[in-house]
Amino acid sequence: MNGQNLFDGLRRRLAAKGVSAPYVDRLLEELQLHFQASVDRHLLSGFSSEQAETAALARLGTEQEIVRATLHTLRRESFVGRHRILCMIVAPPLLVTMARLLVVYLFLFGFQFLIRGFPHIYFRISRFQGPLDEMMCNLLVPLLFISAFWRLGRRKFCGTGYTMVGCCLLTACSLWIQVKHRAAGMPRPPHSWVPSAYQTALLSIYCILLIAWLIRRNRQITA
Amino acid sequence: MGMISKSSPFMNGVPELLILSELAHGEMYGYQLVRAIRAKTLEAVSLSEGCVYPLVHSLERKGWLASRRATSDGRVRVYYRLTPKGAKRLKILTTRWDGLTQAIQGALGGRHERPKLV
Repeated sequence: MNGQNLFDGLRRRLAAKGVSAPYVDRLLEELQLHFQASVDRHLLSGFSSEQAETAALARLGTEQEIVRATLHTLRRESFVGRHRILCMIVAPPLLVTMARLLVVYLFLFGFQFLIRGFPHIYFRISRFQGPLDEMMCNLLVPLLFISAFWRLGRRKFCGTGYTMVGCCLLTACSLWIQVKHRAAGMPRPPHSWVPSAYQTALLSIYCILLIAWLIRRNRQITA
Repeated sequence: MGMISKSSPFMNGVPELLILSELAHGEMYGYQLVRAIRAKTLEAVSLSEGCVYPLVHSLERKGWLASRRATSDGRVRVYYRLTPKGAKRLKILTTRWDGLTQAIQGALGGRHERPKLV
């Protein structure tokens, strides 16, 4: 393998792993400078140009080593990277449930309770609970994704792969639950955690947009 | 001397310490830094040279290092230097490292003592 092959391979693999293009550019530029300095050093020691390049490549490390070190370092920098299972699998459903509980049941209910008292208001609120729940869920899902994109976009490393897998799993789960519900002839309970057809459609659109964005981004990087 | 690779469990936090301590002597560019580490550790610490850069960038993002570009002998070079925050971090890491090595040396020394028979 020559130097250019290594750098091309590194660019492809880092982009495929979701490392942002500006960071890949910076890393490769510095690696190329290092490689050139190392070749020059070996040439001064009396190596032929081919030997110097081979020796410099051996010192630089393999493509796999550099990719692994880069991803490991980037992941270690963020809480999400350090606790991937917690943040990508456990936390999203918990957070959505908690946010719904906090906002709908505690904030609105508590606020009204402070103003007008408990029992009377409870009945008033409960009439709007269904629509409020729906609204919160429809607001929260996009907000969750927007915040994820915003957060990941600011980082040098984007965990888009994990986000994409998470979205697809969420969509698949909600579709499966809906199909099961319909097959059993059960109506959707009014305050159920089961997503409505509308929410599932929204999720599906997010998934498609996400995948399209990822493909476009990867094409841009590797072009 | 046996060589320790970066993937060794003994290496956790060591490359950071080595990079910070090297840069405490003055600013260096990447190749210079790698060579200095290799020379100072008598090649006992085997770091793939390419793996040092992600780490250096990470330290820079944490604000422990600062970089500047300069052209030297017609070549563009990225020089790194320790920031005051980095110097503080180096002090903490050095204290921790000293404590750890003393503790391990004490434990290894204790292991060689013959237990007293009652």
